[in-house]
Amino acid sequence: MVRVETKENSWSFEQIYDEYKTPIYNYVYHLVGDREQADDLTQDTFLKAFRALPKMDANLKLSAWLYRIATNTAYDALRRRKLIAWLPWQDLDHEPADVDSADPQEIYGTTEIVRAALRRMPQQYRAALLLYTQEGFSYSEIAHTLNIAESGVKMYLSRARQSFREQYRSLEQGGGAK
Amino acid sequence: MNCERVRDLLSAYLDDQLSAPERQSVTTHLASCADCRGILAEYHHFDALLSQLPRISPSPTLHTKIFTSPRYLKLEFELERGLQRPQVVAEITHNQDISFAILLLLIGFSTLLLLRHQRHHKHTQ
Repeated sequence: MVRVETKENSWSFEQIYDEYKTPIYNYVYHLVGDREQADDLTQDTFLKAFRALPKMDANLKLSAWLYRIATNTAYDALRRRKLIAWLPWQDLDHEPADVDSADPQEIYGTTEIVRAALRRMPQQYRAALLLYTQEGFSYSEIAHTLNIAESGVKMYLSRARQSFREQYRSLEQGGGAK
Repeated sequence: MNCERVRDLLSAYLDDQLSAPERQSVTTHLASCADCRGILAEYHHFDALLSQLPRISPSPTLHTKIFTSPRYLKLEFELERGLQRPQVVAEITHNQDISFAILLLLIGFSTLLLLRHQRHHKHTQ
């Protein structure tokens, strides 16, 4: 079994997967808004991490580093999706919602409005807000994960909250797809 | 401070990330502005909603998909052999490709020479 050492622990790849599979998947899902794609991107995230991990410094903060890989992997996928949306055969009204696989009771509930509001936000602000509220990251950890200055995190979170509030209120008042 | 300026600072105010003078100015403004107080209360509420959002787990098959994928098996193979062997294998494959191309060129060149020689021989007859 392959093991890697970080300052915090000695890990096997299976242990890393077991520890982080749900938070990373959950984070990626909220970034891309699609379960099947989140599965593929989570797989990609772990495989990229496993390949790079043996070469990393032992002082590595594993958690923030994994989220950084997950963020970049999801951003790449969102960029590709934007490119595809320009193609003439693409349904431009398509919302990458996960309505088919969601719990039907949640579709019109608060949880679904929160998820829909998140999906409508600019991706960089969405990532910052998720890391802060869902993952409990500090400003410094968010800065490291999103590769921005710590002062930028303040601006990102401010815009994220403004944007989330706007989208949430619009959805609550029956605002349809954007 | 006016409402516009305060609204830019509300998020950092909520996270306790403002300098002492900025914090004091925002607090003073909030005491007399119900609209800004309302937005701050909403931010607080939305943070709670987001932090309580149910966690979604990956499909149970994801583990198998990752740990039996060709990418993972290749990586495991490389790591177990100290990262060396796959590179050597790649070099050999690369060298074999070059050898094969040279061989094809030689065969082509020889065939060309043979054809020219046969044609020359016909002319002289």
